[in-house]
Amino acid sequence: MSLASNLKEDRKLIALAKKDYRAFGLIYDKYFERIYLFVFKRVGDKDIAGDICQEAMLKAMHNIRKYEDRGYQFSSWLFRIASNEVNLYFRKSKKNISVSVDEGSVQAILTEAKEDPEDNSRQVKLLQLMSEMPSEKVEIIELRFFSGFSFKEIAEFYGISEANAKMRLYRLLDKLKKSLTK
Amino acid sequence: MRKFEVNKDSKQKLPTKEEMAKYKDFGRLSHEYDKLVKRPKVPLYKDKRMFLLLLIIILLAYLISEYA
Repeated sequence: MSLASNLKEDRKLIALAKKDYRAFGLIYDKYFERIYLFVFKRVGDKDIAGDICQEAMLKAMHNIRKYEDRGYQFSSWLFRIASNEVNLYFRKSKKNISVSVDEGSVQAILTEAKEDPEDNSRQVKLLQLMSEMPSEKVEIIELRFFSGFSFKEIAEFYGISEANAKMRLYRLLDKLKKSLTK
Repeated sequence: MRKFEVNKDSKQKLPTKEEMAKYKDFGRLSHEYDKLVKRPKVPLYKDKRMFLLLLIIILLAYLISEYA
């Protein structure tokens, strides 16, 4: 499906859901798996991802009337809600939750930060630094390197320009690079 | 708190469509939505505790207006 026809279809679904909340089921059917996988990649647990996904969908269903079309993909609004739920979950959670990350993704972050991607100690230190950061701060790295968002998708997610999204990410990578070399 | 760990063995194993389907339940979501937005089934005046509370407030208001 092309981007334009997807936008058109989403507009139709949103209009229906605004009129009758039961029509939100069509949006739920269309986006559930994408939102579930997005949450799963961030929490690394199927059951927790299921609960968070359901909570995010409930919030989306409750707020669909307030949704304003700004020309972005509708999915970015859903991803934002889901991400807020993930952040909330980590803020509230008292226990340590281990999230497994592909070595390739860690190497991609190190390459982008102009560090040696094969250096094991760097990989471990990077993940340690990221673990110590609040979930909201590290979110942009997760979007880019773990969820594979393009800069355009990141920009739509935050409601900012692509240039601003790049600046935010590279600033954070610079900060991490400085901490890595300390 | 979250702790990231490097997975060196293989690519992260993503849930299959069948596994995801276990969590997909629009009926449950609708039920939760109803609970969230619908008014309580028992009207205020039929709830014994609320009714008593209302009665006490009215009585207090009456007494204050009488003796103030």
